[in-house]
Amino acid sequence: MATREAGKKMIMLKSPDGMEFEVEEAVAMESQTIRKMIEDDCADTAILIPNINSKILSRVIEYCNKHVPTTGATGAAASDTVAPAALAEDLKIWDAEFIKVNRATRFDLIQAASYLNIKGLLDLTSQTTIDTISDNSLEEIRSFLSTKNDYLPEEEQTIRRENQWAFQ
Amino acid sequence: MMKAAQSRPWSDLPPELLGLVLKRLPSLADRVRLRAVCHPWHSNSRLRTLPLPFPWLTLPDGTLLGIPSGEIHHISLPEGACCQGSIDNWLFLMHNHGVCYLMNPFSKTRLQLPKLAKVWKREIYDPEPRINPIFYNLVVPFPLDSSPCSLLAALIMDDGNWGTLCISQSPIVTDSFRDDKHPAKLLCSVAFFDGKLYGLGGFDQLFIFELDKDLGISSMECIIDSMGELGGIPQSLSEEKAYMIRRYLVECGDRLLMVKRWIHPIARSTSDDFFEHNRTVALGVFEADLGTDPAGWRTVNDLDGHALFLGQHSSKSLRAGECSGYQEDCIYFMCDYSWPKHSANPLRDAGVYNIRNQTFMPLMSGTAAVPPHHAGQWRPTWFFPPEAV
Repeated sequence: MATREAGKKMIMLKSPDGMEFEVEEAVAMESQTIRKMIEDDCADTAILIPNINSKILSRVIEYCNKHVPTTGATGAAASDTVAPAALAEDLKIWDAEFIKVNRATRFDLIQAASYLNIKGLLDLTSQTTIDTISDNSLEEIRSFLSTKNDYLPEEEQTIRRENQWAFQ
Repeated sequence: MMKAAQSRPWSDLPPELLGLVLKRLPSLADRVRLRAVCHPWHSNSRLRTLPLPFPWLTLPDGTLLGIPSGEIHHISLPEGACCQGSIDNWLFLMHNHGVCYLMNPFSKTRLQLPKLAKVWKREIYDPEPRINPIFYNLVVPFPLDSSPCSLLAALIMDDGNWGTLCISQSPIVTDSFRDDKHPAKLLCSVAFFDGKLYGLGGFDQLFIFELDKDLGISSMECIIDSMGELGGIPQSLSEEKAYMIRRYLVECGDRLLMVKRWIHPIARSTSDDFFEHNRTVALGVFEADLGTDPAGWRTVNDLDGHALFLGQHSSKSLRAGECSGYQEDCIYFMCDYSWPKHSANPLRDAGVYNIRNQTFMPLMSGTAAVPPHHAGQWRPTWFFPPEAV
């Protein structure tokens, strides 16, 4: 079977559910956590990712795949024919589409971005959450994030009273 | 004359013609029914050597699915037995209290594996019982029917991605790879080839194991350390997507093969079963070229007339000509990778892949009814019924 990518250094990531992913080393090194493992020579060519399931890991890899040419260690320009501004705009649109996921997935993505230390993805996922919180009432935020109110009524009253300006 | 011919009973069908009919019946159930039609058919069909019938597939609820007809078979087994794997026509059954054995469901013969589950459990004892085995890959160097005291190797993977390799030859059971010296965490499939035990691990690495007289693993040597120039994804796949991969080690004729399977979701899952919409999008076959120094993987474009049944619990190759209805140079696959708790239908990612022309075909025939899906704890595995029972 014909394959491509010959010559590029590939590594394998394995999620706890037993699924494996073959990823270009440069793509995997978008994650500072993995970069450190590779640089410290702890990685061999196969790396276990202990706490990220294959569904989330595959999305994270797709994110890194998309983002590696402009920020990756390979240093090669993504394209000589596309202006950097247009490329950035393209990425922005791609990111907006990428993050259109349900709350549970977004929660998992934030955690994964944090564990793997992928700054761009952490910015994207947390910004989306910030957008959810901004300018919404407490009830709306709880509803958006499916969070149960665990304050006692009197506790919440106290908080509301002390910071009344924020709840108006 | 015509009248006489018409009234002549079918029980008089000459044995050679009966044999012709039998040979073309790929389903064991049909053969059994044919034999039950009348005494002459029963006795005449006994004399025939028949090709192997089509395999069955275990379903989560403990029934067996006839391929490609879709017929559901109910086989009586000991109360509480749960199938966790198979070897040929033997089911690997496990009970809640940790008893496990191999059983031929037709003869009811049992091969005890007295300590297999216990050895594993003892070694990975975790105060929080959150680590559970997710699959057992059982392999033998010789068919169990002909050598019931055979050596048996079991790769047990758990949901912490740790593997244990147990070696069993009644009454001894040993286990290996719970230490740093042997990186069993990355083993994904084992197979016997030429009487020796091999394992796939790391990133397309092939290991060979040496056993000592106490069945301990005395050495584990990496004989192929990468795919080399053959790495990368198949050309039919997009570079932008992240494909999940499963790898299988299978003996096929006189070759040792690694089958790589690329999987991708066709839709986003909405439940916690994140494999829900996964589908196989490509398969690649590589032969371990052990004759060269150093050994390496080699791309393979045919299966030398074999049909290959792929499963993480058990894989098997058969010379297609010796079996009814098997297609040569084809890989039969099913959804063997779901987690036990999701009780997935093995048909949701199933098919037949022809490696010569690189096309996918459905596993079930067009007329087969969709089997009703009932939840259960049986794991999906191939079961190869004998020629006759």
